[in-house]
Amino acid sequence: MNPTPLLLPGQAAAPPGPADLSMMYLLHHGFRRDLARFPEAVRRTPFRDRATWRALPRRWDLFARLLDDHHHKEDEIVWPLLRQAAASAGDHAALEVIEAMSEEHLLIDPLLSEARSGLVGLVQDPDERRRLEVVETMQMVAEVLGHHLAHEERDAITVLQRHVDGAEWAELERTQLRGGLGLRDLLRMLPWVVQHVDPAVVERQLQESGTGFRVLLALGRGSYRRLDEAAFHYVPDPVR
Amino acid sequence: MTVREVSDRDFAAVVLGATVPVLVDFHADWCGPCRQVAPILAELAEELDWMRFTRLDVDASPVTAAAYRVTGLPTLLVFVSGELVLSIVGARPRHTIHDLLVTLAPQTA
Repeated sequence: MNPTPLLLPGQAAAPPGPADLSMMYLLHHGFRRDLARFPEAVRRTPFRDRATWRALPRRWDLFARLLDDHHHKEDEIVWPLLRQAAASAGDHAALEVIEAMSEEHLLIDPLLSEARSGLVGLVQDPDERRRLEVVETMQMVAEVLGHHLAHEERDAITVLQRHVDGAEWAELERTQLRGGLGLRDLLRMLPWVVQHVDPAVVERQLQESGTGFRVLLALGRGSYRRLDEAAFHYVPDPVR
Repeated sequence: MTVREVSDRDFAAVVLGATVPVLVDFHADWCGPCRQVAPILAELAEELDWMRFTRLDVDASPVTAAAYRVTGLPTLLVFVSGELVLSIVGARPRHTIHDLLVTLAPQTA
């Protein structure tokens, strides 16, 4: 049994069980954090500040690539594993949960595309009415993705804890769930993951993940901070 | 105008037999994004008075949902003279739904 499942701000649940889902919860925290900040950035950034407006789509693209990578790995690796385990055990309720996960991923993609095209359109053609529409779209992304993440944390992780043992999950994380990103995104990913997370939680994660993570975090921190600060220049500290 | 509940029993009469465009919001109680879209549709029902707005609970009325191959929620389908003319799968912001629906407004010469 994993002794103390991580429960981060905004997280819906941390079902007990043998697998350590800390990295998944940290990723979810990052998605929630970003989706609280983007609508505020769009709402508050003055149109005259062209540098910040140019940085926002680049920062959105980092968020979107990390989310796409996360969903892609779940669709290609995690859900098939759970589907097979649940089918073998005759766990029909679990199979329904896994199907719902894949369907929810598909329903989020068009919203992400709409948010990006709205943001890019706003950069090219600043307009107050369009600004409100982009804020509205990003809030909808936050709500829909929030429902999905909560559903996953409550129900899909419960299935995972029921059907996957701790060693199997650790091996899967080590061999299949890491990597897959380009070098630049890989370097920015860890600073993105740990942003606004309690330092004690970060330290615990770094101790468990080994020296390689500390090196990656140090290498990527400057690049990520520059991009993040350029995009969220006008977002106040409580959200930032 | 209010959003009317429809079911397998009265779908044909209320939706397919209508003389005005009809939007059907396929939803379920357990669907979180459906709860985001419902108030948007209630607002649009007041604004777009040339269209009838309805809701169908897919758990209570599975036959209609299956007939239209509704696999993701919410799904918004619009029918004109019994023909399906617009399909929106998944939650969308108000302005997107509004802009798609107004393309179906009857032309006034």
